[in-house]
Amino acid sequence: MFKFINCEIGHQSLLFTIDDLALEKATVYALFGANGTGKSTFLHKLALGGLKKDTVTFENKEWEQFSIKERTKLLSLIDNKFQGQHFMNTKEYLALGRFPYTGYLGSLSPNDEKIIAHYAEELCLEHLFDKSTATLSDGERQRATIAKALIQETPILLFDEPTSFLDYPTKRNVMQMIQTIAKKFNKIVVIAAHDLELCTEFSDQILLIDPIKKRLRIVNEPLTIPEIVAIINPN
Amino acid sequence: MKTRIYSVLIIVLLVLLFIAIGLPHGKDHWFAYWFSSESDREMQYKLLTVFRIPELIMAVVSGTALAVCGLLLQTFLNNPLAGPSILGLTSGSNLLVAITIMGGSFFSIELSSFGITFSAALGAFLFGLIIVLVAMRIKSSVSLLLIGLMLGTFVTAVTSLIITQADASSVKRFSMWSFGTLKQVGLEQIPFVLVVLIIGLIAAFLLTKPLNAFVLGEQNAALLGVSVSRFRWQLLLVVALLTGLITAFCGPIAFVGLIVPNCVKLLAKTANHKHLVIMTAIAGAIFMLLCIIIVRLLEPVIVLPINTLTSLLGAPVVLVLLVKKVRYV
Repeated sequence: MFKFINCEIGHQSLLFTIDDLALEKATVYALFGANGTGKSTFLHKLALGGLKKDTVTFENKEWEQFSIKERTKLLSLIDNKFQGQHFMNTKEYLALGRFPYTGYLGSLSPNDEKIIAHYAEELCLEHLFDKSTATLSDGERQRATIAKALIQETPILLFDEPTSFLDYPTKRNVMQMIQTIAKKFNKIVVIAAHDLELCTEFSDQILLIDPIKKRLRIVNEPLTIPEIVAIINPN
Repeated sequence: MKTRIYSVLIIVLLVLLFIAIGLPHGKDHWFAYWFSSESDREMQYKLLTVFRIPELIMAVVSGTALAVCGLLLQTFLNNPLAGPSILGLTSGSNLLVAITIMGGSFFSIELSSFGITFSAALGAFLFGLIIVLVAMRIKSSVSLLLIGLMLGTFVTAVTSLIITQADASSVKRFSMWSFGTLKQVGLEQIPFVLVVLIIGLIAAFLLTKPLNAFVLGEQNAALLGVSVSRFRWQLLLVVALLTGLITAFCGPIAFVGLIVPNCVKLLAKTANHKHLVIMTAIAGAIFMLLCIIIVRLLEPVIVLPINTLTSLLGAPVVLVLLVKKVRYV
């Protein structure tokens, strides 16, 4: 369980606070907020550090107590910034998921190879192993990014706008895949996105950033899309 | 696939070494040393040990070091156009060496090769630091390149200013050095050069794991657990050491660090830096050997300084990369 109590998110100025939130395993959370309200900041601070002490705990241990190395085995952040490099093939890209586990020179053990092969098969990527990451389609690259995060074997997966470059059917496929993964591999999944309809459909719980009260709101009652929009974009 | 590339690279390297050793001086025939008459033998022996072998070793060393530096900078800055000369690191070495030589003659201190290497490395380090600080703020790879070029031009002007104030003997010493040549190193300095090169290459090899993560960009590397600031210092030290070594002994040699890694990446199609570092090192040596063979073959027609030849070959490559890459930057 990933617990937040009186957690403040922001750089110099406060973006929003989380009063009391507990993220459970095998659940997909959709995080909605207008641009600039702190979605990405929140995800990045969780991954790279910079939150106030005593406010975030994972499995009853303070989150900031985990070293950066330990954290990379607990949490992976998936964004769509990587656009491929012509000289890097998909296999090498996936292998970087084992980065926190390999030794000083980064050589893969047979067990690492097995894990890579397993998740690649799970996401139908084996036929792309030798293909350059620069020539993958956007959908294939997003699948590879998710596979890399699974290969990292972290209990927490954070998605920063996972579907923004994709066409509609691919978007649905990716969201469906994320939902299946959360249940099948027992992951805590948070998706920050602007795609309200799609994320509402494929998530279990909705989190909204209220820009006026600067609070994270946990939605327990069913809300329609216009109601959500009214909360995150009050003006 | 990779074994094939390795074997091709090594065979090409050995063949070029063989050709380069055998190349005739002036009107001599090929492999003159082994076929020389008794009376001629001593002269041929001198030619071989005083000129040929040190030059060959320096070609291999400089190609290897500069190409690996280029690879490290390209991956770290996520910019295929990076290289020690184009980012102004070489000019930084230049400036510090000029100051050292002039200062040395002013205070009449005898300069050791160690002293010059140190000041060249310090220059490369300082200017590398400026580039890294700028790169933290400016993400556009073309802007970074322009800043490097401006820095280089500015420093070259400052260097000329210093030279106008210097006495004749140190001016001569400095301008000899700044043409860029592989022929100024004697056999007795070779062990020092080789030791520094090997230290630098081992250090570069130890950085391969974080380098692999940096292919995804700085932020993604941090997300995988790379300590970015520590890695930045380590990389800068390695690059400064290797660039400084070559600049101190051979003067500025442009573009090797830019062309070779790009060709290797095109050829090998791998992002695993364990392979890339080794392949780039071998390919760099091949490139420089090729250059000295071309220089020697053209000698009857025109005497080409090595730096001129690498620039002649390198500038078009930069242009091609810029034209191809311009859509993304």
